[in-house]
Amino acid sequence: MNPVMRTEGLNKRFGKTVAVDGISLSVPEGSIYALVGANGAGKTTLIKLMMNILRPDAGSAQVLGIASRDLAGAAFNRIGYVSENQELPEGMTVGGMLDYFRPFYPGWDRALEQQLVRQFDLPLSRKLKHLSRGMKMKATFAASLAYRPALIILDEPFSGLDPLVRDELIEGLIERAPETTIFLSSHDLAEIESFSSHVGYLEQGRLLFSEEMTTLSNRFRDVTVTLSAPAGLPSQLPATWIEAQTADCVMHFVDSDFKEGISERALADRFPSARDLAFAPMTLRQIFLAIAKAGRGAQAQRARERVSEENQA
Amino acid sequence: MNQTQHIFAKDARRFWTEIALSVAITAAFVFLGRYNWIGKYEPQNGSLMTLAALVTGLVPVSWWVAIARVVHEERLVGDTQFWITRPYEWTSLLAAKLAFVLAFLYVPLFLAQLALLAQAGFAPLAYLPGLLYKLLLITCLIALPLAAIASVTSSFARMALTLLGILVGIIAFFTFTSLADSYWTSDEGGSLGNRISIALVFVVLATAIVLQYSRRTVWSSRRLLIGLPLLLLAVGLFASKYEQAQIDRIYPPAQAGTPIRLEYSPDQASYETSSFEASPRAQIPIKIRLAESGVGDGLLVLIDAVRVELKAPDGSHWESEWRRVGGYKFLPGELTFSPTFLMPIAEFRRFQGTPLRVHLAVAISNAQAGQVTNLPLAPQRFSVPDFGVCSPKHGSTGEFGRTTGIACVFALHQPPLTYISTHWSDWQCSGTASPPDGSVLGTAWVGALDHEPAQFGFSPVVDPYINLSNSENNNGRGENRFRFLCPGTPITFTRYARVGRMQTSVDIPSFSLPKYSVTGNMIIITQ
Repeated sequence: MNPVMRTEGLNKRFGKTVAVDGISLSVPEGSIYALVGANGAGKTTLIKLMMNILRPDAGSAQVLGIASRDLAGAAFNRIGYVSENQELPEGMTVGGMLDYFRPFYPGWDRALEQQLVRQFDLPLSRKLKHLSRGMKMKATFAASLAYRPALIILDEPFSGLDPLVRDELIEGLIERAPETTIFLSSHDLAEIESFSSHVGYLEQGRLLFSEEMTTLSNRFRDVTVTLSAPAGLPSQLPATWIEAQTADCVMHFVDSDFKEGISERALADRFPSARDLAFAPMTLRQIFLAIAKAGRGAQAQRARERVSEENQA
Repeated sequence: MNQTQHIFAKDARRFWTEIALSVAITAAFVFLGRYNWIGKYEPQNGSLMTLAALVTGLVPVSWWVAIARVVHEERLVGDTQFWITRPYEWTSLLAAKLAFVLAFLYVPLFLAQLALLAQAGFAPLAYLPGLLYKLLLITCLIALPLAAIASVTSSFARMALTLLGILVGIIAFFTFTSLADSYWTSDEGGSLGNRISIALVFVVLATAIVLQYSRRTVWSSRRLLIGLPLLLLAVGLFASKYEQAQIDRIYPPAQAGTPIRLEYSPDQASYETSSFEASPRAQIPIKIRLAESGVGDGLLVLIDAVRVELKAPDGSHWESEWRRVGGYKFLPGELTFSPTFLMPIAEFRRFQGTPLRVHLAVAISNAQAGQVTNLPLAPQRFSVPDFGVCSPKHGSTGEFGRTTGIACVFALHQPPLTYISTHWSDWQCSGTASPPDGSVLGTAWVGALDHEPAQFGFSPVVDPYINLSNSENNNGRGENRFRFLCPGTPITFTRYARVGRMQTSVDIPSFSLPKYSVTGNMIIITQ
């Protein structure tokens, strides 16, 4: 499958802060790619770099085969962009905004526009500045879907919306999924888990991984080992075991490289006296919490080691 | 409908209040604008004149508001605007904004200028090239700077702060530097400097705007704009130095006698006292009293600039740069006058108390009387061919209804240099036409030998103050009374045209700098 979006070693600094640190990723055509990460991880910056809203300090990006630095004008006929922070022509009515945008897009589908207006229950005669946040977001969605873009980019689209509006928007989005590629960022994992096909995880400007959702779900297992007698953590744990801890006879960790049939046997060999081995599938939220905690733990450990080295010096 | 028309139509709908306000102000400018000059010869219209001045001041404000609003509608600073991820072509966006400014600011102003010219008594269509030049000046000095600043600011408030900062900067520059004083600009050289500056302003501002619309590289555009005053300063300095270097070419030494004789004429009887702050950068103005004579009939001599060289007995010397002295115009007859040169305070102290030899070089223009028009003073507005449109000026209160002078208006720029002469009456004129008593001559100069196609400003009508000499009569009891111009009094308008430029000089074998004393931080000069 051809990548619809691709970045190579993308970098962006704001003063001394590295917002995006050498990110290389690829978004396959037809996918629903969720870029996740905590607030401040660099998701919005990465999207703005790809949309040519910001210029990278290094690296390159391509969107729909166009270098992001050249993305302008007619290239946006095929891209729908919605952001939680996007300013709107607040002085216009919803209908006025749709009327205004329509002539910009040769592929604007009037029937689809009307369908979206009905689906989102948009008040055409009300000014955008008088709409609630949820209603504004629905109007923006309608104005970004009605021309059937080949790529829809959503930056924290559901942030701060009530569940009803969120479901309406997701439903509208999923209906468009067969004919488009969707790239969205979010820090709310539950909301994207149900419909994303791919996921990338961003932490402090670095992309920790980027893969298909099913691969990710299959790769992670919440593992519980019940031992016959109390024991501490064994030394030399595999690097793929994260958040490992013991309590009395129970050892618990997250296996980030689980392989059906192989991982069970390997664990049984390692703990021959184990009374029970349990491998539970994990939700996306559980996976990211584990990764985030492990990341912070590792970071704290590195910081402690640095301080210790400095003290010794 | 293409994208440009579509964005233009949206802006026109969105900003109909701003457009209506701007058009209303322009209409008021047309309706009241004539009182800017009428108020000067009809004192009963004084309050309307104040209102006219206010409305004239509101025109650039309405331009500011309209340009800022329409540019900030799709603002170019920031990364959250809706339009930057929509298929806007930057050329269409820029063209739409340009069309908005042309349609709702330039066209109304152009029509207003035509109407004002017609109101002032001119045939507007005869002045189209000058009007276009005037619009070019307004573009360079008003519209482009406003558009450029709007394009690098994110909101009206930030733009207002930026404009305030620029204003403070300009005031500070002229307050704390003496650079402006050091310039000497001949008409020719000044014109060169002005033309380069205007071209530079146009190119830099247009580049900044195009750069912003095409790439939205805010800091690149801001750097360009910040660099512009420095470039203009460099051009000013270059033009000044160029003119200094070219002065001998522009004003060659007189070959076969000069049209004026100048002699040193020390006047021991009158002294003037002036004081200056004793800063190291202080420049002391030194007057040299000269007597002129020898100007032939039908000729006029103008003193344009002077340069002075001082030599002390020990061989040390100091030489000034050429400095414009302007305003000295000599017709046949004899007069004394005192051109001034500036001397740095350190040099002034160095040569203080030393008998000096002075070589004063004087740059002069000589002009010849050309077309002469004699007209009787009409009771109402009257046209003076190849000059302007004049009206009798009425006095206020005590002289209400009486003519105490004349006022003239001109289209786009000052008239050719013109000498106006007439005769005053010491008594209020009775009846419809009283002959002048012929005893007191009233004269005035108006206009210039050189001028651009149009002066900068929103109004196309130029109304310089015409101050006829001897307009008041001292009755011997310390009371001044107005003199009057009676209907039918002949008025003569003599136009002068330059016939040449040359240099002459005056050598003064013994000259002493004025005495000075220091009081606190002030230097007191008596000369």
